[in-house]
Amino acid sequence: MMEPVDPATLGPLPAPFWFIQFFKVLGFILHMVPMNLWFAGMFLILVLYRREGPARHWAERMATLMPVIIAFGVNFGIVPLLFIQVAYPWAFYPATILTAWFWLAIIGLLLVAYYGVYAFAFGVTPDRPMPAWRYIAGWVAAVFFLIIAILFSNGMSLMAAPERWKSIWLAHQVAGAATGTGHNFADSSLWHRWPMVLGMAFLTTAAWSLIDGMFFDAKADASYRQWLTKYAFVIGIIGAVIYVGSGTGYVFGSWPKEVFQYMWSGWRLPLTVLTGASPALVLVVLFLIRIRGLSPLTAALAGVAQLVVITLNAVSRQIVQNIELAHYAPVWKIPEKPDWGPMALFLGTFAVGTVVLVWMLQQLVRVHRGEPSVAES
Amino acid sequence: MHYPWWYVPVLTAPMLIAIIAVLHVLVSHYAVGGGLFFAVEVSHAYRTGNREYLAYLKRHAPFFILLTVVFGAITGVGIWWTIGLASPLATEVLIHTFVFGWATEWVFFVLELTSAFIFYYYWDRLPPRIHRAIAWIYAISAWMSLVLITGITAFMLHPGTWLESPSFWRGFFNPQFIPQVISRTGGAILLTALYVYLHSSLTLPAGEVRNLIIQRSTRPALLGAVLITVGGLAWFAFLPSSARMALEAAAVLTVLTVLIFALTAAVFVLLYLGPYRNPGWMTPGFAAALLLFGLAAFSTGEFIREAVRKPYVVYGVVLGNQILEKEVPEFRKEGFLQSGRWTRQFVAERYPEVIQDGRILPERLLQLSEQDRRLLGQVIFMHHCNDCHAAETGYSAVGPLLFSRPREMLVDMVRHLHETHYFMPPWSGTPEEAELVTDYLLSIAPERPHGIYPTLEQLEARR
Repeated sequence: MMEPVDPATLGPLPAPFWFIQFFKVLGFILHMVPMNLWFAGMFLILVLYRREGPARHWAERMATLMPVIIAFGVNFGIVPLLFIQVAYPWAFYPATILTAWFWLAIIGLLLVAYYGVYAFAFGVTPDRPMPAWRYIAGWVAAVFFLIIAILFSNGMSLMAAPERWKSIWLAHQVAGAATGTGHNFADSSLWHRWPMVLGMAFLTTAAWSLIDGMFFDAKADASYRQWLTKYAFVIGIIGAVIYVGSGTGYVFGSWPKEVFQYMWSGWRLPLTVLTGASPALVLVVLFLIRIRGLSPLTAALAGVAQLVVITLNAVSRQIVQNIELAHYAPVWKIPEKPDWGPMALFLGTFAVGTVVLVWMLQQLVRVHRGEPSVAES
Repeated sequence: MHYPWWYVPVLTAPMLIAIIAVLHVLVSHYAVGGGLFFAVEVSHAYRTGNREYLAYLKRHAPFFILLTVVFGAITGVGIWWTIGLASPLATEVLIHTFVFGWATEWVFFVLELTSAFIFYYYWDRLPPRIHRAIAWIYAISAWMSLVLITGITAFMLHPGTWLESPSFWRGFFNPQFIPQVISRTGGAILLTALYVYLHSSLTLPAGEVRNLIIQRSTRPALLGAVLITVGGLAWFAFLPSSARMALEAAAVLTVLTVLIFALTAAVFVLLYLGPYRNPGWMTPGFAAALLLFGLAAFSTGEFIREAVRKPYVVYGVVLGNQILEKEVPEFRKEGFLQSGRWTRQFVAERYPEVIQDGRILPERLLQLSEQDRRLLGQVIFMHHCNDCHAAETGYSAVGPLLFSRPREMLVDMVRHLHETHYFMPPWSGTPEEAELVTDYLLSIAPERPHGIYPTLEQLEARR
């Protein structure tokens, strides 16, 4: 194990630790929603695009939305990545440097995958076959997203496992300098965590499909909505099974002893149980929708339930991460020196930006309702 | 040296930052200038009721989105990726200082993205007034993101009074801030015009509409060239004196500086004679040549901006080799290998015999075998020098730079690194470690090539 870091020697944090954690978790939740949609969504699109009827309609609709989904997913990923570097540079940089080529490959793969999605989306035309190269581009994108998820988990799981750095570094170095070819693929937590995200991705896609079909898709008729209830239930079950299966392996098979003891005691116990069991909540809602039919209320409930799953996951992960890193550097002992002025600048801009965003979305709602715009009238 | 060093053969890790950063700025400036272009031109087209012009602008929008939202955004993240890998300590310092600057920039990114998609996907569906407003929201957000990131990158060149009293505001409003905002704004406007020339000449037949687009784009382009020049001169005037000297002392930088001004002037003249006076001249070939000129000038500018900071990554704070300037005296006293977490660990693993009570004893380092001394010299080279120099071959390789120097001269040069060349970082190790790194440098020095003036020893022998 590398020598632990003395928190007193670290530069002070520019904001209270709770503030950094809050925005890291919030950003992660925001990122997870679109990321889930492209992670599971691209595969489902490619499979269903070859079918007819409502399945094809769903695939077309999802495919045309996908470029926008990816843009926001990448954008929202900036927030947790920024705050992770504020809170844990001493863990984030070593882990990513040791695995540098794999980490850097994410950028290249993402660029190709993103253009692949555009190639596919621009080729979507109702009732007409898609040129083969566009369809292949879609598959390349889907596979690359899968690889990106593994590479990302590779870096992030290594970040939280400082006890593995030394052996990886010594096996991949030239005169003490990391070659960047190290990896954490032997860590079982990696192979449990990314399927967990895949499971969540199916659940998110199920919830989103219902929301889209209920609120946004102007072409959605009763038969399409009927199909959606069945489809969402099926992919929801698939997602929940993957999530619970891999999550069980993650908790009981790869958590270090101290993490296990901490998370299964005190106020963390209900949180841990809820995090593991939360997909059941989504499944219950999906089941209700399946038997009672889709309505604005039930669609919204499905969305809220899935948001609860993602939020519980993000909060639990944050706590586990702190405990995993505690023996290397106890994060709560890092000195703080809040920079209130710039923080106010950010929060002020955030508030104004939200108002502008809401105004823009309001214009879209008016367009969809066929109303004249406020500014025009 | 708090972080492991990433060894990238031949190229060196920081050159990856340069490659990705140059690719990014060539598109990100178009993202900013393009925002202003769309806001102004869509407003004009709606006002004059020019449907053909609107149709062209609508055709330009997907090209703009595909380039900026995909390539621009992903390479932007790519810069972040690579600075963390190749320059972690500097990135840590910047993030701790400017986290809320970046967070604020992110808010503008969200507005940029949302407005860009609405502007494109809801073309013909939004009332013109709202469509124009959305275009302006994009333009302002994009320009604000330029302003915010420029405050941070300008800080790296000249932190100004931040060095005496560190605070976000002092760092952000540094002496280089306004000059760089002016020149980058000018660059964004000029570069956008060059993209528009190429796109319109490729997608529109020669005629009235094409001429109108080209003529309307040229006035801001000329303004952009003026802003680049004004900003560039102010940039030079507000350089730290060491950076100005680096610019004058390094022949390649002098040549490149002259080149960038020459290219800007050439583009200005070509813009005036071509698209402004004779828009009909704008063939795809001419447009491509202009764009290439622009891209070359931009890339050159970015290279100079990076190079004049040497030996710092963040001027006066973080040296290129990932050491804080204030740590140098301690490193010289305690030893380079001892002071670095990863180097200390490496020595402890491989050479426990040189360690006593958890400390590396410098005198014991010299008692190691020749092979081991060379390896430890290489360790020091990797962590002290490889940020700017490849070893035997590659980017600024030290082998060819230092060959045929006698050992005493090399040791002396290593120990007085920044006095020999002021744009080199100070030697941050003990005299014993200077001996080790010299052992390594001698081992990688190439044979003396034929045709070079003989060494003094050879001359003496001839007498």
